[in-house]
Amino acid sequence: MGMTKEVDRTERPGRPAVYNNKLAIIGFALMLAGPMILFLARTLQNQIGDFSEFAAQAIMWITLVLPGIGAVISFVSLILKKAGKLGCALSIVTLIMCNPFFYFFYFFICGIIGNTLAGLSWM
Amino acid sequence: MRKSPLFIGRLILTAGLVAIYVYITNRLEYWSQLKYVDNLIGAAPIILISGIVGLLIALIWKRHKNAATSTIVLSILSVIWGLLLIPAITGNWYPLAKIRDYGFASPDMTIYAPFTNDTQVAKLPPKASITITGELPILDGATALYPVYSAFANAVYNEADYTKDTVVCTNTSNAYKSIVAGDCDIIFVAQPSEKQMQAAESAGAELVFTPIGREAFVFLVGKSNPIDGLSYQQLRNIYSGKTERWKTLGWDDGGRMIAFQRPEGSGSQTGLQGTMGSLPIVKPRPLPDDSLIGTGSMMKQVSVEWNGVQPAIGYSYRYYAVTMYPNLDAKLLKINGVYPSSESISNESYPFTANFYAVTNGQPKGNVKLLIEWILSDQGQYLVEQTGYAPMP
Repeated sequence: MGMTKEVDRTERPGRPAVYNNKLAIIGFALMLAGPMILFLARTLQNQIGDFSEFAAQAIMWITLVLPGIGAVISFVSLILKKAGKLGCALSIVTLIMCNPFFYFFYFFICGIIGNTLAGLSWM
Repeated sequence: MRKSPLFIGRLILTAGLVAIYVYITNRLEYWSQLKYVDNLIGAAPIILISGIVGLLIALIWKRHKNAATSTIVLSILSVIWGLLLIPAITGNWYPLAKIRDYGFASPDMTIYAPFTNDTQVAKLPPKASITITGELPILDGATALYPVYSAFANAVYNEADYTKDTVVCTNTSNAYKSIVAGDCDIIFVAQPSEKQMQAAESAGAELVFTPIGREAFVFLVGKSNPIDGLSYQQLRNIYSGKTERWKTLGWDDGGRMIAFQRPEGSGSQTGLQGTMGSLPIVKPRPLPDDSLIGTGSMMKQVSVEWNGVQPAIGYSYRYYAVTMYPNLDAKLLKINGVYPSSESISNESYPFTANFYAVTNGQPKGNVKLLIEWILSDQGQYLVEQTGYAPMP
């Protein structure tokens, strides 16, 4: 997996010579996957009309959970200290975007809001 | 001490960014209205824009010997926050929440049908100066304008040539589709939305708009709401998402506002877009309870009760709200201190008056031209006024 390994030619003491960015990339990808699935679901919803309530709920929970899993994986990646510059950067971005306060706050809001927007079909 | 070109370059870039920042935040009316931003969703655009500009300035002034981790972090964050600006400005943060298309509430339109014994359309005292015979122009239009164009048909169409399909009412959105498709000859509607104009252009239709009367766009709240009027700026703050609590507007016990909206392309939604100008309108927010959608009608739901108060605000056209489909538990709001009365519409002291139009696909010809010319005559304008709208000045 050449994409996920980079050689640190400076070979600083205490750091591995070969880094592994796999975990960081997976964490970052999961963070992006949540909103992307949501965007696709919305597009699909517009095209095929009414989703079943179950499908809508399932998609909503998946899109909410994925970034959280991504944040945990990124955190593990940072603790293991096996990631290179890019891996560290991706992990930090993932943790900033999915930091516990922001993430659980949004999770909480999505959990309590209704499914119906204040839009009315009739005049 | 002589400054290096790098320093000057950074200074110019920073100044450019600050200028863009000031321009965008000012255009979104954040600086003048910052003290009226009373919710996190409404504050999201300025928080994100400030964050992005801060990140970019940090990137500009950072030392770039190698691609350091912090540089990559700042760059990726700038891009992601930039992407988040789109839902922030449109207020579209709610996963899979939707505008439900159910319920049915509408006035009895049959009482406005032409050529019926008990029709309630306005009539001319003398006979109309013209009679249109043979192939009658097919009319369609907005729900709120049905009484007026039905009155035109009732006055000038030859009854023997009339069929029920000659004068129909499919609502604004469908009427625009109908005129573009060539299914009718004239539609009577408010101004089109941008999307409707684009759809007409891409279909090769050349819509011709003839203003035939004036109407007021009105805002309504529940009757128990202690607020009787709002300023134009307060309305802009509400529908751009900055103001969400009645307390900000002076009603301490009003709680969270329910700002109802209508679907894109409907006449009243286009009216709202017209009043907001270039300021983006946020998507409607989720209701605290699905049952508040009720009948699905703006006129009915605007007086809905929640937590012991009537927290909703809505909008409509004056004739529809006052005459066609009134709600005795709702009231019209003054705007900038002016109540939407016949007088204030005629003298244009009420700020939201707009023309409504007879729209044809191409220049009117034959009976269509004859009808439109008659509508603009004293007799046609008399019917506009008698129906309850303001005639053209």
